[in-house]
Amino acid sequence: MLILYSTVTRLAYTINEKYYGGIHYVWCAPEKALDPNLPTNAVSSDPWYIYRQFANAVKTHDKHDEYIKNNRAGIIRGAAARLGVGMIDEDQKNEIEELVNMAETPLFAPRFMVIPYVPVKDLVEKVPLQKKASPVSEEFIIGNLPRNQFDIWEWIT
Amino acid sequence: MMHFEEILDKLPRSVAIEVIYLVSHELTLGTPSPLSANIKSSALSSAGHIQARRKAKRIIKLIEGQKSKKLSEFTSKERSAVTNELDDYLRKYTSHGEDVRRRAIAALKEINSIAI
Repeated sequence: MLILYSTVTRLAYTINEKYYGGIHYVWCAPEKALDPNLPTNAVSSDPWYIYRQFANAVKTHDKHDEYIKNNRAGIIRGAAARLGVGMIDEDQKNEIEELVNMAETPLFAPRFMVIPYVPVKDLVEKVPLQKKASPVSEEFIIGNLPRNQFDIWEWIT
Repeated sequence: MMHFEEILDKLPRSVAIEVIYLVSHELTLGTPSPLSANIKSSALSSAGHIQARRKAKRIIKLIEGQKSKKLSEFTSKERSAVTNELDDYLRKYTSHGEDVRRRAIAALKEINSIAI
């Protein structure tokens, strides 16, 4: 495995940078297999699919898009978790919750994260097989990924 | 209306937020998900985590029962109706008055100005 990929929204990315000192919580997937006979990930762990969903929501100014609502819930959950480990204080957590509720659709524009695997391999947690809904899905979590360990780009559609 | 308040209103705030997140994720992306993967949030104790998972499953069962079909068979309109309600609850649990709102507006301006 050479590279892990993930999709992040502008809002989530900038909150990670501003409030968590450039530490990012990332669900990611490896590069797609070139062999068409090999299984592919479910959509929930397919960064390319997720990117397109967010891009479409932003393009159509869809305030009620499911992915945007889910992203709001995810960021708010993340703030509670970061409070739980003492990374932020209660005031900062409240501020994040409030700003997430007020954020407009353009802040949910997606960005693609490209994470070279070798330098971060010790930070990567594989979701255990028995806990996965699909045994063929390849998905990983990096709970504390420093900004200097990945690149970020926008895919102009 | 799904009447989630009967389930959510009795829960501690942090557990209710986790339940909303778990159900919302399930509705948007399906599995694999934090619910199926059983990934604990550090915001919760083990007991809180178990309670959140149990309540999330209960809500999913309630939703499926009301529509007489599996979550995966929901139309986008049906998904949207449920996630709108969940979104309303999330706002209820995460609104913090004028002072915090002023700080959040300032932070949003800053975030908006950052080009990435």
